[in-house]
Amino acid sequence: MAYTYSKIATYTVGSGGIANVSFLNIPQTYTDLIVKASIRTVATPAQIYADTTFIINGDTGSNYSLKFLRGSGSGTGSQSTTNGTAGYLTQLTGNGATANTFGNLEMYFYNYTSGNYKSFSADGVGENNGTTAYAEITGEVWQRTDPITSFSFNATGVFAQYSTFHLYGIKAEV
Amino acid sequence: MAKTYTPITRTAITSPTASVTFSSIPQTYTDLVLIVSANGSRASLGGDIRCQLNSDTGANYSYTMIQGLGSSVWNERASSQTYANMANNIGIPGSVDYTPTMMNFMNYSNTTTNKTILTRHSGVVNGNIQARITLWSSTAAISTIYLWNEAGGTNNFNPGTTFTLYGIKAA
Repeated sequence: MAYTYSKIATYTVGSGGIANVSFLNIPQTYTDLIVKASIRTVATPAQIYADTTFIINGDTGSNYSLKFLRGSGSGTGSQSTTNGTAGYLTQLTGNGATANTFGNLEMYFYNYTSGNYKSFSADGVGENNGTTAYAEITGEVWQRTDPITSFSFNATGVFAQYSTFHLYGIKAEV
Repeated sequence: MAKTYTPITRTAITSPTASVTFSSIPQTYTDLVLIVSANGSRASLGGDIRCQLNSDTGANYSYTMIQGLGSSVWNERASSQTYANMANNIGIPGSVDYTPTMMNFMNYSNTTTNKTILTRHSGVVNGNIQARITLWSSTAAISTIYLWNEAGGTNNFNPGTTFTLYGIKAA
């Protein structure tokens, strides 16, 4: 019996941190992909919240567009980027935030092997034991028709030890 | 070991199609997830995905929605509607932009409570990102989901649009 929701790969950041985490040679046998990540970054000077970006298939061209909706506890906001050179993820938790606290993220990539532009959504939170913490929902488009074969996540500084990234495949095999 | 997450059916549009119906939905799961990747025939603003359940055309649908427009935030509430509007501004014709929408039908097979649906929609190129909660004021188990594309008139779903219905079994 084939499983519909299967883990493809997991990466856990080790001692000393790492600036980039990549999933390469992603199998083309699923329908959709899901990434779940628990992330804390370490930068100098320390930041409470830090951007994490990512690129697909090594593409640093102006092919990424997005809109996001954010709540901080004291207000809401929405921004958009058109033809950016990287995808953007939620303002995740940095090393200026409460110790031992990580931001969380889930990304859903639709029809990642199709010949259309690749759309994906992300829900994330940059948590901190303070008056402000960010919750964001993001929609993004990679304006290329190539199948997605790799991701690379890039930290502001480095990803802290114990940050985790899990890649799952969803197979709609009826 | 039983599967928790099971594809029930998948529809891939190969010619312009106004509507899609999922009928005789098995009542053996706990929740349903419907994944849509859509491009429509309405130019400029794209179309909307509308929904009726169990062929109910009564004024039994309500929703609350929050959306990010890129420069501002908007929220909206409508009640006693004759259909549920699940997403606005899907991909426009002539583009390879297929907007993603995920609908979660919670506890769909029970016959005691009214049904709620959580939806996430991302219309990045042409529209907005949305989160919405929909209420269908009926205690009937959901056995049919009818979706169509309408905004400013009747529109079609274009070829390449896909609909995948999954069942989630909490057992």
